[in-house]
Amino acid sequence: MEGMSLHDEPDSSPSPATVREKSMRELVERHYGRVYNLCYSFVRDRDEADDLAQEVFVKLFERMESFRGEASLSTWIYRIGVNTCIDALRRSKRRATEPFDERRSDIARDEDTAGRIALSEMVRGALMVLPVKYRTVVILREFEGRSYREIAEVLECSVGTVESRLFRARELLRRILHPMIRREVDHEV
Amino acid sequence: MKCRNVLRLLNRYADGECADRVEVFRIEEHLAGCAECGKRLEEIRALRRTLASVERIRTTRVPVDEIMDRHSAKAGPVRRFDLLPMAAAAAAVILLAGSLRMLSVESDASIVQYLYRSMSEAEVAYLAAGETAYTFDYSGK
Repeated sequence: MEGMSLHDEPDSSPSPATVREKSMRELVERHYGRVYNLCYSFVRDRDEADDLAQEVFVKLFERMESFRGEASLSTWIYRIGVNTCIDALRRSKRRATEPFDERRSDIARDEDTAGRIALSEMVRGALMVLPVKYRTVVILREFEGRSYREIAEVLECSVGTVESRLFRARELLRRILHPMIRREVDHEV
Repeated sequence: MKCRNVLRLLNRYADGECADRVEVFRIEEHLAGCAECGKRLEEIRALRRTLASVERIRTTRVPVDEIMDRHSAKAGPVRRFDLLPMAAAAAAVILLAGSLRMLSVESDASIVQYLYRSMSEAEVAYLAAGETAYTFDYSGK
């Protein structure tokens, strides 16, 4: 039994460090895609989104001990993700990666992939014009499908504030994307 | 209900976030007789469809190792002290139990095992929370 420790026993549990690392890796595997998408919606740059998404997980691990389960895990991840992106935008003092060309918003709806990607990038470009607090609620509501209450929990504000920001954000987007919206309304009618 | 009030509620209505059926009824009652508010609702819905059509950015790369490296580089030596509070707690429990003559020498190992086990359970609970990460159940709604 010389040199035998608790960990050497065949039926012993894995060490806390091993369990911890395995949990961390699983957490990344499971949530990276979603976090990456969230970050991309804020910065509209793949490399920067990748860097920010990594930063989000590093922060998550740093604060793991403070997670008490009061909010759901996804709310906690979104909160750290949103704050990380907002901090990055503040640091760079950037509002848009490229200027939004309003004249292009009347582009014909193209059904092929290139057309859809072009259209998507145009809408994302319009989103980048919005002040960050309005952009945030649109991203969480429209891209991440969160309810008002969930958004309020992520942003740690009231549901009324979420509603008010969403109202203003949509008013702005409606004006920016007016030709596209008009076309969409006519298409439905 | 006046147009001014309805316009404030249209987003909520389009999002299915109305407070109750009475609110829904009052909005729909107004919409039935107001083309202007009806047009605004259509615009909100069209905007939502446009945003929903935005392509998701797909990434096949999940940089687990890079993240773990960044975490280790940042946490570094500090992480070595993570077990200190646990060790202190274990020592306190052993001392207390010893002074009360409640534990034998053999059971010291079971305390350590218990601490390991409880940590594993915490991790399991943590992962279990991840399983339901996108399932929200607000009974109040």
